[in-house]
Amino acid sequence: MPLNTVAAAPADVLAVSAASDALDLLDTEAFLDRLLAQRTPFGELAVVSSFGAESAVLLHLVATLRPESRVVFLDTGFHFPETLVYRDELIKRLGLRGAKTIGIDPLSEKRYDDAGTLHQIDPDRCCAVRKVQVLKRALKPYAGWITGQKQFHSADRAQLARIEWDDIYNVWKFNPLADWTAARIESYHAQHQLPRHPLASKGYPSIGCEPCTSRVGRGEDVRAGRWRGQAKLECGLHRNPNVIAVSS
Amino acid sequence: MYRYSAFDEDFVRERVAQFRDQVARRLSGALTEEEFKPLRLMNGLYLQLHAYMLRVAIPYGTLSSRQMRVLADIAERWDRGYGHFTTRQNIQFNWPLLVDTPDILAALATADMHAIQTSGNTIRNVTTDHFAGAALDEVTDPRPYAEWIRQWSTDHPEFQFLPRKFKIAISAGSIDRAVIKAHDIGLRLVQSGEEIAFDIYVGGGLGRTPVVGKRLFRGVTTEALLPHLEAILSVYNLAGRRDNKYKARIKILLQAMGVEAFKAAVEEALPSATAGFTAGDLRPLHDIMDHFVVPTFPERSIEPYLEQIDTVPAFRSWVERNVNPHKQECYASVTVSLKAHGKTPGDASAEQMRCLADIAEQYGFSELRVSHEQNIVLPHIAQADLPAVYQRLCATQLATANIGLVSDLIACPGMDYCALATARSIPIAQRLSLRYRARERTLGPMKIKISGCINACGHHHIGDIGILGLDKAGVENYQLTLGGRGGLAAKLGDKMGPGFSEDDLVLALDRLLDTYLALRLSPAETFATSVERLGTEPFRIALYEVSDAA
Repeated sequence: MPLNTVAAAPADVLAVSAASDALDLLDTEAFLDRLLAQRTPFGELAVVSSFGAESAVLLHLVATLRPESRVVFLDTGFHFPETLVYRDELIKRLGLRGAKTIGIDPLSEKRYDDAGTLHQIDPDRCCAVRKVQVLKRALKPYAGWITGQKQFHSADRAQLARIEWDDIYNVWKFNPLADWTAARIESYHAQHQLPRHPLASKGYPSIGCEPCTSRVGRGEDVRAGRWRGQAKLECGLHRNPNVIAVSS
Repeated sequence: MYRYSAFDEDFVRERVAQFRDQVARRLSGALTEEEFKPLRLMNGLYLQLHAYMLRVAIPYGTLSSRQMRVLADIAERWDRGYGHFTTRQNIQFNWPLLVDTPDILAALATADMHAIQTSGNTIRNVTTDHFAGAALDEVTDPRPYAEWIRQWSTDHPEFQFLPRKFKIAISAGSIDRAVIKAHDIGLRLVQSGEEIAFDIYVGGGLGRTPVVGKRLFRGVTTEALLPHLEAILSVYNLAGRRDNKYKARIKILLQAMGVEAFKAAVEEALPSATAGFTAGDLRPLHDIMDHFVVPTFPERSIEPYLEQIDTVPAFRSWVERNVNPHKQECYASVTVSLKAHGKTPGDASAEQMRCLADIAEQYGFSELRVSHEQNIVLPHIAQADLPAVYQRLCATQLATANIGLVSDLIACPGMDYCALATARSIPIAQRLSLRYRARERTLGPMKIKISGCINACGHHHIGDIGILGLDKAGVENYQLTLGGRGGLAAKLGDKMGPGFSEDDLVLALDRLLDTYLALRLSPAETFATSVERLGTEPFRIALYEVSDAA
């Protein structure tokens, strides 16, 4: 349970706004350090990670600063086996003591996707029940979430801010790596000799669920392999036109 | 829930009084067993290996808390403290004294229950989906139609002496949970525009000549349903064989006449059957529907459920195995397993029955169901109440989380009780459920069905693994069938080779299951799917591997 849920409600807009302004001046590590503190002006926050191709960077930063931080992994039930192995390896290697996996509850799964074929019939709905609803549940005790989203990932994410109010989940949302470039990610990776996702070198720069992720060719967007051949670009965890950027 | 009308009540009371007199005459010696037998069979009383057995009808498997408590009282007062729920949604009491049976029937009558037409060559209890009224996939609740058919068939003057017993099942879901294709008549409710219509399957049945029912009529209207049943039964009643009880079921008639000729005969009989009904005959159906009004389900938060799911692994695995979603969001249907490892499948003690009655009363609109797989269902439980229900079930040894797994097996009473049995089934069931307890989650969904004789009350023909116990020169011998299934794609299992002794049977099953684990493409591939993909041959070879070498 969070220790400071009282502060979770974004009631004190002024304090939060002042905090945001102050935070925004900080570099990534100092910014993240404030967020991971037990008491923040926002309330207690959780890191949410896909344990995908670039996740090691944020997780390493978190582990270095506060290894006990809550780190949530959403298990959709359709991940590549390599992702699950990589998750376990990273958690162990980085010493992430607060890591937790959460998945769809059994009754929702039977109700909405008993046959496990929803991803073929209606991928949006599949993401909604296996990711968005599950994240809602995971974030219930928290005032906000910390993600690894980056602006360079897609045209849609080019405007990504470091601090947002996320009205899908009614929580704060922090993207400490928003302005990191691909080169910076890569050099951080190399510098700290972080383990690679086994699929990263096999043409998967962005890794989602197995049935809906394909290889990316040269010159394509990082996320081009996600829901290939469909108009769908995002799973819905992040997609929200009403996200209000309070800082950039 | 349907309650007896004054007419029903008088009828049942009168039957109890009649039977009391018959029992008194039997006990005084005025009636011989030969004379008494047809009379007791009219009231569900059998004479088995060691004792009388009373089979009580639970129409379409629906019970109220009040009725369940009466069953508990009977078990305690007049039996040995337990009852046995059967594959036809009935309950059997195995040890009643003859002198007590009229009192038992009188006790049943106080809660709108009876044992009429649970035996004899009549139309038996109409069975249905144990999730009826709660299932996500049903077009409508099939139970009002089942009750309508029950009223039509009870004491039907023309159909009290059919060539042989006659079983009807009715199902309304996209998945058939009532094994309708293994019944003399199987009815499937379908949506036809605005209306409900019926597909009628005829001539299914297991027993010594297993046959999958054939669809004879499609889209029969509600008005035409009873005339169709009447016509089918009248053709059978006249043309069915009465010279040989093993050739007397409707499935044999269908085979002898041919499906087309049988259908033509039914169509010929239809006009006169239809003439016997008037528009007023639909009125009882409408009255019955009023008794089946769906409870109003107040909206409840699912938070208490989610919290336990995330923190209590035992609760989570119980939900995964034993709980199904309900047509009303935030509600669920709970299947209470009567298959605790090492216990007799389908048995419940009086204490367990009362516990179930209490839980249903407190959390589940006082409703309970008996499933044809010999479990009890609490059809309407708010997800928020699942943690409390689970706690209560744990306290009464009713929380075994094994629905659909190896130990959720069906077994007939077999040689432990039944006068017809040629081998024991319950001890085999107990042994298998204990033997595979630790591996059953790895093995995944698997239906094992055991019959202790050729009459196949344990439905072995439609099990993934069917076990048939026979007597071979005074020694029990178990034969296997593989790859059977119920449902709308019902299929009879393939017979394997020579049978096994009990000890060799478990070793053969070990090899069979190891082979499945080795051959399956992934843990997601069930045993049934493996058999479908590979055929039964690789599994047959595994069964006999060692025996052949020896």
